[in-house]
Amino acid sequence: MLTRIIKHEWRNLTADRTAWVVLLLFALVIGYALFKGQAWARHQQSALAQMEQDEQERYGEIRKLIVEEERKATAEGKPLTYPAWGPRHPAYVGIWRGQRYAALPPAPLAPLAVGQSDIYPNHFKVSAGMKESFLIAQETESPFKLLAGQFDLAFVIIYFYPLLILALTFNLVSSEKEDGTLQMLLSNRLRLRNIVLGKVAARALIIFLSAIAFSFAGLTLSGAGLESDGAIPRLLLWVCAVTVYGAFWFALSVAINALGKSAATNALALAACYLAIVVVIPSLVNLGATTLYPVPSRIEFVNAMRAETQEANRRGSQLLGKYFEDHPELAKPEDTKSPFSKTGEDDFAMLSMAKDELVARQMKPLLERFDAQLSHQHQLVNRFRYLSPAILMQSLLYDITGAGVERYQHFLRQVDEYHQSWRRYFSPRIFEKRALVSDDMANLPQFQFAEEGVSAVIRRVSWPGLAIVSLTTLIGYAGLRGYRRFPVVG
Amino acid sequence: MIIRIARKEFTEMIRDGRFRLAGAIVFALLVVALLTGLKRYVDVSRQHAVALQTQRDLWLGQGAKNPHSAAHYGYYAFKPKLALSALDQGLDPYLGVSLFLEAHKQNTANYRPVEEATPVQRFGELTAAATLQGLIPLLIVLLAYAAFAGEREQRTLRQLLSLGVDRKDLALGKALGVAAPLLVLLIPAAAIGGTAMALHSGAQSITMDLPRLAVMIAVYVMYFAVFIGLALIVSALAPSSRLALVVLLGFWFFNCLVAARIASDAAKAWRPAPSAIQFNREIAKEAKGHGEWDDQVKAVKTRLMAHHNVTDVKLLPVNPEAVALDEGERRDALIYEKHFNRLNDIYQSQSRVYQAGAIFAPLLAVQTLSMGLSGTDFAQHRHFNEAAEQYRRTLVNTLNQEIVAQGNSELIWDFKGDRSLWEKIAPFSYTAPGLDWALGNHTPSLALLLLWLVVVAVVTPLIVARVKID
Repeated sequence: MLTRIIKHEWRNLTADRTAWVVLLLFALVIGYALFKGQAWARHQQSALAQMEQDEQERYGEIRKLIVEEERKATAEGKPLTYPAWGPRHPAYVGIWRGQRYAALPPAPLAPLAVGQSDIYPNHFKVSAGMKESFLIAQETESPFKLLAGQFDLAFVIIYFYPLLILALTFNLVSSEKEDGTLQMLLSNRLRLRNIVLGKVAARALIIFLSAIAFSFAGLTLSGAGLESDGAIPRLLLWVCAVTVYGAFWFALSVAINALGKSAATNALALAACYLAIVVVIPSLVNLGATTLYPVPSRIEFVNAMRAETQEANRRGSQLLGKYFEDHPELAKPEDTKSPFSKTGEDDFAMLSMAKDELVARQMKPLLERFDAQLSHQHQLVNRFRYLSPAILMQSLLYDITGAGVERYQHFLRQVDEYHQSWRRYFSPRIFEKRALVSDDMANLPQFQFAEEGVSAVIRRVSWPGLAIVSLTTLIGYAGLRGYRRFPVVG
Repeated sequence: MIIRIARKEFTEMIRDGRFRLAGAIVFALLVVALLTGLKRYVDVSRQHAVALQTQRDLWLGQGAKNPHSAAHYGYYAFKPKLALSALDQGLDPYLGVSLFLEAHKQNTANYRPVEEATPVQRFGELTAAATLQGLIPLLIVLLAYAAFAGEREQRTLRQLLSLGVDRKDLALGKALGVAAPLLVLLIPAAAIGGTAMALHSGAQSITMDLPRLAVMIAVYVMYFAVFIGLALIVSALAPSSRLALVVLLGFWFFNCLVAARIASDAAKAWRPAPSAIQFNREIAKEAKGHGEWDDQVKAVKTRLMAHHNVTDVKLLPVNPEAVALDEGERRDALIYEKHFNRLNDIYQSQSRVYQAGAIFAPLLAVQTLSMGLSGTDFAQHRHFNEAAEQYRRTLVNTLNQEIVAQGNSELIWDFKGDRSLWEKIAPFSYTAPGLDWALGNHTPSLALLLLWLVVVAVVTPLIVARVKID
């Protein structure tokens, strides 16, 4: 019986011109979103290419200068001494001209969601100095765009797709009732619940199929390369998430329809739910997070860092002694007696390394306070995201595509490790006064981003996914039960 | 007659439980938004005042050092906020708050608040402006969608018109009937916000921004009027109240959630901005800083020796290195200026394209005007940055001049300036330009909002005059 209702509804819907208009609109919107998403992914890719080019040019130049000096020395028969400054000086390369990029490649499903990637910088120019000196973000996207938001597929799914579902279902039963056909239908030994299920199934089929078909068609047409590791399982997760989120809105609409009010009242009630879930609750959760756990002022942070730098400058050469105490491995045997020996006192590179370490150590508690507040905010949002399926969906989609916070933190941890290895390479050279040779330029530590495994993503998305599923089941079940008391007449 | 119609509509609305609930929610959100916005403003201003003093103390207390070292140590400028930013955050979350002023280079402002926000922030922030721009229009839709379509369905429209009501009066009466419940909600909210503001930050900060506030209120009133007119037009034309509602909700969705995205895409496509890497690389190609230092000094040496007609560097009145430093700074500053101007011009023409989008969605006009008046738009950000850059140049040039003034000494790099030199540089202070400047940056928005208002004011009575009775 159910299949017959579905078939009938299908025929009804496909005969209706508005359904086609709605679908066409849906296709256009998805197409546009994918086109924009693909453009953004390409933009990120081209930034990577620019970085590589920039690095190659600089490295070629430095190498050339070193080779020149080496050749000159050999020609003149003089031994190469440790330079005061210049391309052979380890600090010249490690802190200044030779800073190397640590770059985050576009996310595995970058064309599907811009996510946070328009805010977080996708590269850092790593230096042997302190982390704070290069962890500063450069603007990557125009501020207007950031304010307006991106028109990506995640936007279409979170905002637009529920509206389509509501538009197709707000008068699920009320129209039959208003046309007087409901009584006729029910006189045929049909259960109202089955009629509703059939109507929903037919609509869901249309919406789900078109959402998935349009997305895949768009992806293929835009030539998005999804060959990166884990793209296929991630794509499957995406399809699941989209289906579950759609099911939630269908269930909600079924439940509102069960109240037996007029189509206009249904429309108003559903619009109110939509507004609460998609607009109001998220902004309240955001407000709660920032009010309860305000991040300490960056202005104070800047001033504290300035004060520490000044203090480090004042302590000057004294610092080196302290530094060698902390790093006995860097002090040469002849220096151990007098750690801040004449060799180090006027060597600005040594001083600068020691200063950086001191400032970084002094700033640590303040930075930890920042991180603690931020993680409190994240925890609060993570807890309260269960208040709105739209927030849940956002975290699902961002996580699945790799455009969210988690993959970025994965990147930051790797940048941190890379920074350590960069420092490990240069600081012995600076303290042992070992100049770079031309061959070193090919052997400097290089950043290689290791992509996050899909299993970690699945672990993270399972709870929010499950939450939407159970919410859907609950609302759907209550809604269907509600049809037992549906006022068919009057 | 107009008043009577309005009063009837008003009574009906106020008695409607749906409106009372929606109105109460919007009112609560508006008050929360106002108070939290105010708290943020007060906090930031306090931090700002402390930070300015700390910066100054650090600068003066940096001890004896070479003036060029002091220039490298530099100065931090922090962007101040206008009191009205409590109402509208505008672009502020997406623009840096602190600007490092140092020797040789012009920096971009750092630490954009959005980098430290969670992804929920992307759903939009709850500010008074967001509530006024998004939720009040929704209330208007709720109040007005059935104005004609509903009366037609209940068969009261025929009765009403049979009384011989002038249709223009009817249109105006209905409009006022929708506006009155809004006032019931907006006036107390404004009173609460105004009192809180006066208690928190003193009446002074409000009176200073009073002209801006007055224009802002006018802008929002125009926006609401446009929405009321549109809702009445749709209600009069739609065959059923259901359809009127769907059409109006569709327009609301487009206006509030879609238009800004498309307009900003269009703006970016029209005037694409270079990527950060590209921008930095282009500057690096021209600006030298300490790079190629020996060549820079050599060129100055040759030129000065020719100018003074001497053959020995020792006979020059100044140290060529000092001159090279000073000239290099001035040369590089112009290079930075050129590139930054180009970039900022791109952003500002993007802003104009974005404003032009108000032809389709009045929100864009209101949004840009509102942030312009709150001092949270791009033009304001640029103005501050340029003022800070002027300060940077004065600072660095003063310090460089001090080195040049040492004459032709070999010890210029060992020369140390002290507190008296640091005191020669006045503290950095910044005041935002006035109302006319703020409005001047948003003339397209202002023009388009007025156009919407005129069109709606003309069309609504015409449509109502032709409203179908059955």
